[in-house]
Order: sequence, then structure tokens, then C-alpha cells
Amino acid sequence: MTFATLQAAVSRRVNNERFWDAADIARAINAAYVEVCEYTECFETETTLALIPGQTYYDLEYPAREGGGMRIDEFAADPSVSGITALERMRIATVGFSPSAENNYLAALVPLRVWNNQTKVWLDITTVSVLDRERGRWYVTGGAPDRWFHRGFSTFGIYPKPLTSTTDTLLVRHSAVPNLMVEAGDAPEVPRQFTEVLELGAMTYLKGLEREPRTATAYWKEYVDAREDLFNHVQQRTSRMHIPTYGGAQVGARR
Amino acid sequence: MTPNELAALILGELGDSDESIWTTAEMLDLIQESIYDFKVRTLCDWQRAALNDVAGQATYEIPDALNFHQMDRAEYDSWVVDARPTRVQMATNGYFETSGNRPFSLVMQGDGLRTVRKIGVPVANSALFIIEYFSMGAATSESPDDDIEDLPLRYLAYVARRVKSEAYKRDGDGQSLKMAKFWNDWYEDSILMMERRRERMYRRRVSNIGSSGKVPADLKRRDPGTLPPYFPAIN
Repeated sequence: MTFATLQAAVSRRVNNERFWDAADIARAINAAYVEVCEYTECFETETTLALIPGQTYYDLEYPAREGGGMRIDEFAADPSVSGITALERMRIATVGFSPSAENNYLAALVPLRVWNNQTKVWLDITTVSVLDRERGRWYVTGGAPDRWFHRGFSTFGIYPKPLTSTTDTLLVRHSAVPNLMVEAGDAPEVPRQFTEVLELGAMTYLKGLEREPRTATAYWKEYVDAREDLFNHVQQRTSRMHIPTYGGAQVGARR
Repeated sequence: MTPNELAALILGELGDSDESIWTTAEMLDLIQESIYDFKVRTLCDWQRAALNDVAGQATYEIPDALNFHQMDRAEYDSWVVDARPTRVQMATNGYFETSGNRPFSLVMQGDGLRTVRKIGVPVANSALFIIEYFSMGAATSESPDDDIEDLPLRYLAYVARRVKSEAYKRDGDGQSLKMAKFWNDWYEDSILMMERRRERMYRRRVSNIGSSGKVPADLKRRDPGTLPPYFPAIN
């Protein structure tokens, strides 16, 4: 299944050249693509994150927010930002955590696991309340990161953090919204047994814009069902009976 | 994307680019209230900001510019500051409104919705008090030509569904309650998506049993060694 075949399929379904041209159909498919990937988190990838001295929090949507609300590539390019050396600035600009064309995704969503490239360990997931309880002034503790924690939706923190100039990096595996499909041969990052969900999503959108509530609602129901199937597939890629269900480690898979 | 650009886009999607039914001003109002609705219900925007101490001052109005919605956590000099109900303070320290030194807890009760009372009362000016909070976003209707920077672009697509629903709901020309329901259902579905993701994130935190969560580094990267002989060699 490619972008071209998806466009052809939607074009056949919508069958209304008076309203919609190829560009409209392409836009509707990509809109559905973004939503499906965000909803189901069916696309997983990895990014190398260059650590910034003294920075605890990294924002997946705006990675350098703590450094001034900029994306990391802008952050590295901004000469008014202080606290980082010219060398670090260059390194961040080169390998930084940037939702740009260098990566194969449009937006990072949720970190799944984090690897310290220098100490060669996986960071443990923890919570701020645990750190508050066990490590009083954890926020200012320096060192090589060995724990990470969620804050809000797209923000995560590390503990401890490098306080001085560093070349350390973290490898973050995370879910993401892939880049939009542009070329006819582009294939969606959706398993091919589920690609119909993109057609249904595009049809829901187009029929909604045509102000046809009955048809739009019919497509909407099919779309939601198909998307739920994909969501469940993502959560249950391994057959349940082969997953050791000790403790709560597999709660997500048993939902 | 600016609010004005988003308004034009939505008017186009409503088939009313010439504003014969809905106006740009109406769209801007709906965009504003929809962004607030989205952010408040999903708590998708987490922020961190200083709430500087002033010597002898116990209560602090959180500045409008922070777009504060809900307190998440606070710290003083990197130590956590506990948020407590007033009754606990009254029971444990009757002089909590006046006794001072360095803030070790806070209450947000009885002094106004957006007022933080620091306990103990700071005795010196400092910039050591930090609040972490969920933001409701900037007031976009006041600056319709500025980019909406604090909400990722794809979320604006979800916000636009609510705008369309509200537009269709309005009495008068263009009203269609069925279309209003359709777009509203889709918007609510977006909210549900965010809630489900947050729930999964919170569940994932429960990942260690019987320990403080720390696995020694040398255990995590231990050498598995050679397979014992009861595993047959596979060539």
C-alpha cells in the first residue's frame, strides 16, 4: 500500500470531483495518518539526545523549552543563549533532539525507554514523588543520568544530570508521528493489514466537510472501530498467554 | 499558525470564506475558548516557572503571564515544597500565616484561586521558589497575528473540530445540530485519546516491585556468559 494507492482508493470512495481534487484527498489522508499514528502510537523510533549541562527536563515537542522555549536546533543556533560552549552548540545542532527533516518523524510522542550511551545502562523509570522522598535535592544533583520520569505529556526529566560541559548522549526510544506522505511511492508507517483505517479517516473528514452528517457519521463509526483494532494490535503485539504477568509490568497489554 | 490563519482555514472548511454566515471575530472567540477547553481537559501543557520570594510577604498572586491553570508541584532551593490543605496547617501550626524563615510548604486555599501562600513566610528576597504547573495557554484572542506557539500544530486540528461544532450549534443561518454533534463527537474522541495516553503513562510508572526502583548498573549490564550445556547448540 502506497500513498498513490491510498489516494486512488479514497478517490473511488468519495467519487465527487466537483468538491475534491487530488490535493484535498492527499491532505485528508495525511490528516487521518497523523491522528491514527498519534492515537495508536503505532510508529516507534529512536533519537539521540545530546545532554545540556544543568538541564533536567527535555521536552519532546519543544526539546529546549527549559533553555528558552525554543526547539533544540534553534536553541543551538541562537547566539544569545548562554551556558553552553561553542563546541556544545555545534554538537547539539548536529545530533540534537530535533523534530526536523533529519529525523524520520514529524513529532515525538512518548518516551518508551532510555539508554545512556556513555555508561551503557538503561535508565530506570521513576517518579518525581519517589525522588522527592528518597533524594531530597535531586534537582541539583550532578552525575551520569540513570533514571528518567514523565512530566506532563511530552516532557521528561532525567536524574542525575550533567552539571558541567559534557559530550554525553542518551538514546531515547519513543513513539512518534511519522513524516507526512508526499511522494506517490511513500508507504504509511501503519501495518498493511490496518491501512484501511486511513481511507476511513480521510472519508470521515471529507464527508464532514461536505456537510453530510449521515454519511460522515457512518464513516466515523467505521473509522473509530478500525482505529481501535490497530490500537489493540499495538498494545498486544505479543500473544498474551506468552507474556509473564508477574506484578504489574504488563498491565498495558492486559487492558 | 496564527489565530487569524486558523480562523480563515476553519471558515474555508465551513464553506463560508466570504464570512456571509460566521465572522472572523466569532471564529477567534471560539478558537480561544476551544484552546482553553483542550488544554484544561487534557493538561497537555506542563510548565515550570519561578515565583520569587519577597521578604516578609506570605501570599503571592500567580502572574497572568504564566497562564496558570493547576499546580503540579513546587520546590524551594531544589527541595520539594508540600502542598497542604489549610486545616492541616491550622492543626499543626497556628501561626502558619506569619511564622517565617524559608518556605517548606504551601496552601492554595482561602486566599484566592490563583494565590499561593508560602509557609513559612520568606525572610529574604530570593529566586529559589519554583512552581511546576499545567498551563491553560496564552490569550490568543488578544494577539491574533502571533503564532500559537504553546500548542503543537496537530492539536490545532483537534481544536478546530470544537470550533466547527460550536459554529454549527449557533442559532441562525448555518445552524446544523447534526453537524455540530458530528464534529463534537470527533473532538471528544481527541480528548479521550489524550486521557488514555496519560493513563498509560501513569500506569507505566508502576514498574518495580519490592525496591526503590534502583537496579545496580553492574547487574543490568552483566555478562550473560556461556550457555550451560543443557541448551543444545544450534548450527
